[in-house]
Amino acid sequence: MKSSNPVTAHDSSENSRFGGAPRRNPGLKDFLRFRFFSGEDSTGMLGTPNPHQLTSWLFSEHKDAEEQIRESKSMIQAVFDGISDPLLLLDRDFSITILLNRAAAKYYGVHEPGEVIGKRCYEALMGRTEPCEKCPYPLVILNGRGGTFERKGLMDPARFEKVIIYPTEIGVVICIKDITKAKLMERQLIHNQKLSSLGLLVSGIVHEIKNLNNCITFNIPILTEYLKELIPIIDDYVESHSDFELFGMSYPEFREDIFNLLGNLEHASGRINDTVSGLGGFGRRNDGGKQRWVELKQVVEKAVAICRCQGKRIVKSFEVDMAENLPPIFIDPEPLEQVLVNLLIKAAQATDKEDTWIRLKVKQPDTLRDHVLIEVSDNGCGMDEETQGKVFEPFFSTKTPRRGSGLGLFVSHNLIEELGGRIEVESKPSKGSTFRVILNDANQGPTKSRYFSSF
Amino acid sequence: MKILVVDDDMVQLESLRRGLRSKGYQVLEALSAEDALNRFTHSHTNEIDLVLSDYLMPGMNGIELLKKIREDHGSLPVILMTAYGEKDLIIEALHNRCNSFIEKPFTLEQLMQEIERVTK
Repeated sequence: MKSSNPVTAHDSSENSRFGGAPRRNPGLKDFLRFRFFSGEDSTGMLGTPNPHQLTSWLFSEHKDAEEQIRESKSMIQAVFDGISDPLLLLDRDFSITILLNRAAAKYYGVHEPGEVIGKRCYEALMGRTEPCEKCPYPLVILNGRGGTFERKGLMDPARFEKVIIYPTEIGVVICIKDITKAKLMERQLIHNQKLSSLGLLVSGIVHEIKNLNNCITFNIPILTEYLKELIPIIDDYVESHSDFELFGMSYPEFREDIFNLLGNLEHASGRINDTVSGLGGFGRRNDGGKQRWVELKQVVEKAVAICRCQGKRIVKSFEVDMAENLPPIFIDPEPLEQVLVNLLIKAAQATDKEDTWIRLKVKQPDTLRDHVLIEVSDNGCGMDEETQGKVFEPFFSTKTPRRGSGLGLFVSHNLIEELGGRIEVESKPSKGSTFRVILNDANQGPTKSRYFSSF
Repeated sequence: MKILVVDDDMVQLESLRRGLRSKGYQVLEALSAEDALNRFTHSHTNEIDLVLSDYLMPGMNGIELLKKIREDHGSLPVILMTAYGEKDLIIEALHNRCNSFIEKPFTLEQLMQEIERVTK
């Protein structure tokens, strides 16, 4: 420009005044350029290349860009696929615009992830014509703020999920985390805390009842002694008053009735004590390591004492059949007691007939002499096969939420497994159910494998 | 023989007093462990032959009373009564040289057997 002469170059690389071809495309060689100066300093340049070369350059630049986009897209896909939680990237109108990862494809049962791209999430993944109920997505779009929420599993309602939503410039990332295990632990913790509070409450009540009952137990023999001192005096009096009557009874009847009444009171006081003594240890936390030689009879009797009150109100017949000469077993008795209580309560709750019964049977199976079998049977409502298959699953309950947490049998199952045994169910709808607890030879003493495995 | 009976429950105290007196014992009464310790300061130790105390009482409990008795009055026989049959409690009591532990509810006959056993 200084000389008002434009510079032309047919091979820019050979012309030092020209300054070389554009770095990103050495193929552009034919140029017409004007250079700009301020004083002696070169400040800029305006030029045009040969049109043919320019078209081919632009085309190759475009190809490069496409390649780069493809590369970065597959890189993002690889990163997404490497994440084990289901992830989706949605557009503002619910479309799965860009991708879903492998975990999400598996979660929604999508065989060809490519086929759902561009479709609306509720159509492609849920087979719906409109957004799912309570879907918070529109709110996230409106507010532009992400968030998290928990829900029952969308595909499997027995599970729990946490959904995390992150709005980004290109769409909204949705991440689904399976929190069933954490929820389960949380519920078990609450359940244990409830049991432990119940245990405290029960032990407080037991203490109070025993204290008051002591007054009856202690004083009845004294009162009996007093009366024995008094009776001969009345006997003498009656001898000279043969028509003596009290409360419409002749004196000999009355005399006998006094001691009958005292006998009844003494008996009732003994029963109160037996009942509350059985409750004393209930709800105490099991911290393990309390294995010892236990007479099965005592564990069963304790569980029966706890349930007898509730059971008696509901069932007509409650039979306990314990085989003679059962061997002592090496076990922590408290979890076993808890399981038996669970099974007995469950049996009582299953009743649906006039003539209801529960049978508790303890024996050594003929074929497996080193095992002990505890059976709790009822003639209640029973279960179909599908229910039987789920009965030990957590949170599975056929009862209303107030009556059942859905954890009783799950907890029982875990406790029995921890004790080295197993629990089974056999049931027929409307006929009744039988739960079997089988304690195996691992409970036959510290010389067996279970003992050594703890070292 | 003079027995100091310690229980925060008036009805229990009355029952024990009645029962023990009917068997010919002299009975001193205290409604708390603190009250029982006052009894000791206001009477000669050798006047009391045995202490029969409840375990759970407001303020000082039966084991704390037992410890204090062991500190100040050596081997004076002590029987603790409890409605809690907890093993840990029994072990703690025995560690503090408790002579006997009787679980509620009990009869006068059972109590007599324990008294005779510890005072032999």
